Amino acid sequence: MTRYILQRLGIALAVAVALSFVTFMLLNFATDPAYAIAGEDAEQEVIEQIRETYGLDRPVMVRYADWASGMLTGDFGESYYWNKPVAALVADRAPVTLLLSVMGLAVTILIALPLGILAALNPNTWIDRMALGVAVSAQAVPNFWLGLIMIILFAVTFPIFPVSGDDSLAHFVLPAFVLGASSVPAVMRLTRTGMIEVMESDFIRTARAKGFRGGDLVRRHALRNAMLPVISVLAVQLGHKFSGSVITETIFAINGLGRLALESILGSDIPTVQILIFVFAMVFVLMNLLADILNAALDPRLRLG
Amino acid sequence: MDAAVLDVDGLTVEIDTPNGPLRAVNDLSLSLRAGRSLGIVGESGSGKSMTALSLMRLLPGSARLTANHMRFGDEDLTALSDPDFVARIAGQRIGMIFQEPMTSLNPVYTIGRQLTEGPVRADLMSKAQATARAIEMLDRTGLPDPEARMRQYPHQLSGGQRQRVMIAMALMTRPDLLLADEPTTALDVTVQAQILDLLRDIQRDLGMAMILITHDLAVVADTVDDVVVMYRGEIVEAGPVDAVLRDPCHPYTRALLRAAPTAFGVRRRLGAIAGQIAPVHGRLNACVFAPRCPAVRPACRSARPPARPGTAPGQSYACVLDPNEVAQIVRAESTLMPDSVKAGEPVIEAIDVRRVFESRPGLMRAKRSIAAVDGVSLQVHRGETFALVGESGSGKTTLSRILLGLDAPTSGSVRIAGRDLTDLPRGERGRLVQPVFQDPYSSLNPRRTIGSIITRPLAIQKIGDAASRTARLHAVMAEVGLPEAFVHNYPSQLSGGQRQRVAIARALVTEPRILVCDEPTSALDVSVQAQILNLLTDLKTQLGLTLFLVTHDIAVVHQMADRVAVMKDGRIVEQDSADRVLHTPSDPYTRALLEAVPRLAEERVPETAP
Repeated sequence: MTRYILQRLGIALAVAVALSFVTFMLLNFATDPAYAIAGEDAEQEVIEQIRETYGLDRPVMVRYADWASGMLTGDFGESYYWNKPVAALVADRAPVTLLLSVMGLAVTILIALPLGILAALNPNTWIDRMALGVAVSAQAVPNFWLGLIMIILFAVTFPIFPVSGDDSLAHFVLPAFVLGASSVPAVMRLTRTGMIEVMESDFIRTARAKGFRGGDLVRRHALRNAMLPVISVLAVQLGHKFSGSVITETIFAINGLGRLALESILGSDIPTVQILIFVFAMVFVLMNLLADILNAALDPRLRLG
Repeated sequence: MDAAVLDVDGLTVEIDTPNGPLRAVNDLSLSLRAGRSLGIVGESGSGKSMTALSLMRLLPGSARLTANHMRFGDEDLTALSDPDFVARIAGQRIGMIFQEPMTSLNPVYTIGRQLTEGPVRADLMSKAQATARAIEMLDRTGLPDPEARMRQYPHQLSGGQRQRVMIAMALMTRPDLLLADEPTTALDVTVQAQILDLLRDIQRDLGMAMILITHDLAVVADTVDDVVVMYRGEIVEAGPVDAVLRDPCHPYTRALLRAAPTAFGVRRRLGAIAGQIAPVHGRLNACVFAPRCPAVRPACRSARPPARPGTAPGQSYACVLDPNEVAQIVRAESTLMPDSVKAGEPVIEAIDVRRVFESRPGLMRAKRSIAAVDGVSLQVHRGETFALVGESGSGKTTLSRILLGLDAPTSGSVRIAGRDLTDLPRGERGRLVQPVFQDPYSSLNPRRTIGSIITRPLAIQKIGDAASRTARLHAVMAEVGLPEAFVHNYPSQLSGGQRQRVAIARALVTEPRILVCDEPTSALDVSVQAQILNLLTDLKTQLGLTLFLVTHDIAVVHQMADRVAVMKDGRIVEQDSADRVLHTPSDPYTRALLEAVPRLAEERVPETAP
């Protein structure tokens, strides 16, 4: 198990290094940071001036080495737009987005898992069709539209929750629901398929022959097997929640990383944007690592090889 | 005389299908005394598994069960509610083991947990008692170091070991009845012999009743006391196993025995049963075997023949004919095989072929290499049937893939018809060697018509025009015995035997000189296997083919092969004429393999004078 975790950790580290390189190179080749800082109609001399001031005239590999080694010491660079250290900006906004994403994932789990399991245990009945209906509508409804409808319904017509902002936990309920709903279809379907497959497997027949039926059978023999593929997908979904927060946070006026990303892009603030892209990508990496470890804990075939 | 443990009367199982209710089991009655064992034998679709699943209440949701009574000890199972059955019977007084030991244990829990959870949950034992009993039962099933096994997971055990765990699990509560549904079908022959011995010994030691369900007559021969033979949901013959196998009274039993190749004795042409098993929809007021019976009478089609006593005490069968009439009509085929073509020059030469597979278990671990084929040399001569025999993992399929050009050897060389395989362009190779694979259900493209599948090699190799291809299609379909009407059908509309004929026709369409057949009949029923083996034998003579036969089945080898190579762990341990290898094996592994083959003793095979 230790060996397995160390190995996964090594892979995650390698991916992180590759990610930082790709992020940096993309932004420094696709755009000219000096242009971005100077603004659209800047004179050529001003641009040259900025290049010199910010060290942008150095070779790109040198700048990458500089940036990457800075990150190792906690120096994430300086934001041109906010005139603050990027690290401080991210640290300031991250908890809000983390809370939103985790609540969103909780919404996904609470809706998708029970629905998927129920549908699998009653295939081709009205329960199954209802679950499918939920999945299809959740898939078809665009996120921003659902957000607006939720605001109109539960904040304006029935003022149960606040319209926007991030002052209290109640502020997060509607955005978390909107964010969580988008992952329900994929997770629900995977749960359903996984559960149906497990319930048809030979070892479930063995358990039935041993006298296990109904809820006992599902809890003691089917659930753990059916959850193995779902865990990996949930991990990826949390990553989507982070990057999906760009839209949701804008609709609900929440000051998280998503909004920071949007504002930094609009302000052509390359140091902040590249850190955010890196952070969003690292969430995927870390969640995959977590899923791998969790799967290994649940599945002896991974643990013991 | 002991009281009956099980007494079933009038069991009928119907399954809803798109084509209406399918009668899987019809009016079946059987009884089993304590300490006795019963074999239920039948081909696929006979209803044998449905009978076992009925007893365990494991029928699919679309199935309906009715019965006059199903007495089990002092209970009537038909009167018992589901919760009662689960609380008192399932896994406690009736235990069951299944065909697939590899997948029948839950992969994420330890062996110990899976053994103990049933009795503990039913409050029959404490956790400690259950653990002690589990270790005792694992020991009894012959697993070394049972305490350590308790902490292991299923994937750490081999197939044979897992089946021992399944047996131990079924025996935890000392059930009155053990149901074993094809317990050895998925196992290698040497392991099969051990598991059958174990089942027989344990059944006798514990004095419990056992029902062994199998498609293989030879498996019941040495394992059970009594046998029933099922066909299309009905029992056609029943009685003591020796009597039924030596003196079968029903035409189906007789035909089945003659359709099965034997591993020993005189080679004879197999008595294939024409046609195929067809499902019964609704009530059938006729003999179930009438459509395929060589001795069918008008009366057979208008009424179900009642069961009547057979020649031996305790034997009964359902047929209008007397046993001696059956014996007259269902005659043995000639004992002489068609003359095989005199073997000619070598057409396949493998010289020191090695195939090494490399894998890396983890990114940072060392590479592991496994030699699936480890220095094999062999020669196959024109016109002969060469059988490559081995158990799973022996490397026989890898070797056959190399001969087909589907895989390349790591070292060594292969020459086909005198030319090195690496110098042979693909098209030419395809005109020399063609494959026939094991599973006709998955080896044919389901979206192409039969005609298109068979002529596909001609199209790919751009041989002939539309007219000549159609002519060749009709010729080759006639050769393999496929009706021309099938040209526009799809594989899903054909039976397993017909599909394998399509696979053979497709292989023959380019007029190759060699057929490489990888387990060509192991997915087929005995009666259909006989048709295909006879067909291959005939084609070989008519077309002067060379057959390279890959199989695990010694009986098929005995039936088909002129020469044999026995493969183990990537190496050939023995290679010689089939006669010599099967009768006086020199290698210890070959001897073990032959000893493990379940025997229908030669005198049990009904013979009439030629």
